[in-house]
Amino acid sequence: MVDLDDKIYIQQVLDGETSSFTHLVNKYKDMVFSVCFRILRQREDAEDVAQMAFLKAFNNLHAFKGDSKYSTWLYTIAYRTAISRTKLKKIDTVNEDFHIDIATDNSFPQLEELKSQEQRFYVQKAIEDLHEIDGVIITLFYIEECSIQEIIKITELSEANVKVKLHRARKQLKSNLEGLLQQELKSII
Amino acid sequence: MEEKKHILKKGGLEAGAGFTSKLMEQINAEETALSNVLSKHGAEQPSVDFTAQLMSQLEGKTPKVPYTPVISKRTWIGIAAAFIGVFILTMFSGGEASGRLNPETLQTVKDTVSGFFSNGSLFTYLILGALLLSLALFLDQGAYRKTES
Repeated sequence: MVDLDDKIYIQQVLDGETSSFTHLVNKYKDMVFSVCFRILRQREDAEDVAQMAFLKAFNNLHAFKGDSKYSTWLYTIAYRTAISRTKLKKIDTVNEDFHIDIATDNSFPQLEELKSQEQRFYVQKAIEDLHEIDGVIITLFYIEECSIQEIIKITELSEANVKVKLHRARKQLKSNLEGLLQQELKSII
Repeated sequence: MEEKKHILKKGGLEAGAGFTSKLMEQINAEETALSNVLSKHGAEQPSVDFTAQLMSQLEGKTPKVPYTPVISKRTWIGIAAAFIGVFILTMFSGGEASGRLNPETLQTVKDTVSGFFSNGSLFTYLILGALLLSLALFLDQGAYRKTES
């Protein structure tokens, strides 16, 4: 179940070669950071929590039994660390509404003519417009290509809940990114 | 169902051949488009020095070895169960009718307990117990250090 490369690097780290952990960090840092960022919505916080997640993963590497993918195990740590940070944050800022509705006017322009940088901006904006957990599920499902079962393991949500959230988020994204999707469809068909 | 289909066909409302496959093709294409767009633009990246910062925190460290006691919880439960079992068997063995407490055994237990508390042997047993506990802990810690090294 564990990727062969991952298995080799994990064993090397367990044997005392700490530098081998660099390979695992480089391989998974984008997705770990993405998961944290979807929940926390602030780069500094997300980076801090992503570092914490990697530190936890390193310290508890002996506990990784290999009955799931290393990535699933790592994303579970990242997800839970980020969720606990939001809980602390909520306690700190009781009067602030945590869910920031970024796309308040819901005005996504037709994206056909936009340059790659601008397209990226609107895709990010569309994902940020989703609920935090929906954003994580969409990221894991479409970008990391995790299965529903893996998402269930990471988020500890029920299968029905994951499916409903995925359907809802997909519908919202399709509506917000209609122009860009039409362009992509033209290139597919 | 067939009747409904017949009525729709008569009224010229039947879906054309390949309707389902065309619909599914459209749905799949939409899914692929969304997947492509998100893969291209959806991932976030941490700062450039993310790995360096993290690795500097891990310098000279090794993953923590989990503490595993020599005598596991299950073994302790087994020992306790065996002890209770032997105690119960001793209490009920030798009685005239099965299931009844043997008066002689009960008397012996009473004598032992009263002796335990009367002639200062409690202190001896406490010392003995503490010694055994220390020995168990020492063995446990020794094994942990061995695993860690």
